[in-house]
Amino acid sequence: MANLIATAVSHTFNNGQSWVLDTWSGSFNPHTITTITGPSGCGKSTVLHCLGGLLTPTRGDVLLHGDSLYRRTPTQRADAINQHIGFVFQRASLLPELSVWDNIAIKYRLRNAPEPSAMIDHWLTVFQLSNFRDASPATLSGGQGHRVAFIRALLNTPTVLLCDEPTGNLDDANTACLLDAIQTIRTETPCAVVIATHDARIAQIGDTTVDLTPCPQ
Amino acid sequence: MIKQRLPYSIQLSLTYLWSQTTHRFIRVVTAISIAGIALSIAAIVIIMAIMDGFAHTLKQQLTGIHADIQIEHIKALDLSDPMIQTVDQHPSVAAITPTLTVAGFMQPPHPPSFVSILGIDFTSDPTVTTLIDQVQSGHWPTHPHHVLIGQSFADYHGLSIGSQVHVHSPNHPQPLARTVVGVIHTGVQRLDTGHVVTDLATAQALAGTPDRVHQLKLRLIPEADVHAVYTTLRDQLPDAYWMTHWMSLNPVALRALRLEHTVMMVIVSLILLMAIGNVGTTLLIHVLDKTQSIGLLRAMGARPAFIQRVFIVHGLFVTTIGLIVGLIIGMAISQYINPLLALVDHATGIHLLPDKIYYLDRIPVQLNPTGYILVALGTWVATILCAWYPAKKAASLDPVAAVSHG
Repeated sequence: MANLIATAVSHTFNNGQSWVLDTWSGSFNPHTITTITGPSGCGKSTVLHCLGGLLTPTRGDVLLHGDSLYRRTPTQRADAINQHIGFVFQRASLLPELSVWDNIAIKYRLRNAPEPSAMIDHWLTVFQLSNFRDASPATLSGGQGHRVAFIRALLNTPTVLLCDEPTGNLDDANTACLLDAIQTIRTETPCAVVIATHDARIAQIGDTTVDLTPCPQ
Repeated sequence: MIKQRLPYSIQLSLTYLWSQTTHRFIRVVTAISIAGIALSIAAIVIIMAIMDGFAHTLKQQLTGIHADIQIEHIKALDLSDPMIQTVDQHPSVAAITPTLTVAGFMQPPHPPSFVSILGIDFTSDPTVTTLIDQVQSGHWPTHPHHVLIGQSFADYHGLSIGSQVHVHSPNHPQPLARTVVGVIHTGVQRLDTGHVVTDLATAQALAGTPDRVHQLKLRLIPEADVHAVYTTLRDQLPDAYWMTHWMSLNPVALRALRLEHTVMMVIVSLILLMAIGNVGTTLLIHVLDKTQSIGLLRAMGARPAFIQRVFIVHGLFVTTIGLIVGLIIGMAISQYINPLLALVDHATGIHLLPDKIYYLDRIPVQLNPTGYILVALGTWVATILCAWYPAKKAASLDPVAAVSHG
């Protein structure tokens, strides 16, 4: 059974003036990587936001383990996001008030669960961030911030990992490290990875590639 | 460590409150909000302390002279009346003293001056009234031939401690020689200008009613409810007995004081509400500042109720800091208001409380912890109401727009 299914998802902005998605469907299975490609403005980020429960589609639905994500109460949807969906945004999106460690552990704290300290330490070591565990996000470079956000997203062993241009701020070494981590997650966990990218190198790692070209008007 | 044990919404609120990443402008606005709350609370505390102090002093003055409850008879009271035993046995009655007032004359001055002669029991009266505390000069009478006179009366007629006076009445034309041993200042004009305090036997002789008194004065135990005791005794005693309590003796003064208290509290409470409203505005600014963080929290699966809680708790923190600071300032000023006034007097040369006008040479102050708890509860409730909208707004932010913000 697919982890996540999008059924005829359409989305418009500007009160129906501009269509970003038009009856788009997709199925995301465990142990698979799906890459979404297409030119800027064709709706890659919108697809991820809809799949991640952050943006209610104008039409259509998204099913998480067979249950509609958008027909839940706001609390139920928040809990589903917390436990099943990992997000890596285009920009390094860290809470500036919290330390690196606190940013990584936040999903656990939001649901009052004990944080997996050993696993956090492991990933901080893998991504060469061990010295920054108590640092403020303001002191990190763009690439370091992006890696912290990635650890936060994968730490929860999500059902679906949604990555929006995950390598945008990374150098080659860190890009390789991140791609290794994604492959590890795909192999070792029943996670469906969805990556929106216009980087051909990233697009190659996908088991399936969805091209949103041509863009809807 | 303590912070780690708090619910995460409270931890996050505290982090937002002290975060160095918050814009300096917002920190200044927050500080202004705290100052507004603190000043309003301080004003409330000071007004409460002064108004309660005045009320307490007025009560002390009224009950000090008139006692808590007074019992009279349609004729005169016989001291062997079994009613006295009934009253004495009431568990809330701490002490009883008899008094008798008779119209008479005193000389000097020449010609004799008309006076009200108040006969009291020198032994039991101090257990019921505070007349003994009103002796400004001289001492409390210890002998049946001793008398007390009012300050104004003494000043007007040139009498002083040791003056020999004679008192007589239509029922007792032969003058009785007495010695002034004390001068009293009660603050009650008719007592200070026209009363002579003698022992009970002298007043009875002048009234021509030996063994009889006009009035019994009752002092109740401190925790007694005057109204309840009054009602109980009223029901127990026959109709021929007439009872009053201290509150019924000066209803106008008490009503005026209560009205003044209410008006002052309404005015200051409105100022406090404005200050709390200011906290709501500050929270709205804070929500705008934290828009991206809110979006990220939503994307991490924070429930809308959690976001709402974070900002309501944030508002409560701001208010509570102001509340604590205001209470400390208010109590400190209340406690030291008289030295502060003395300082102003000294610095400006203006006597702010002329005792000739106010009969008070210092502002009476009484701190009221129960009142402060009620003020704190009211402030917190008002804060929750004012913080509700900004918190709701934060909880309903579109996470995608919020993440894209900034």
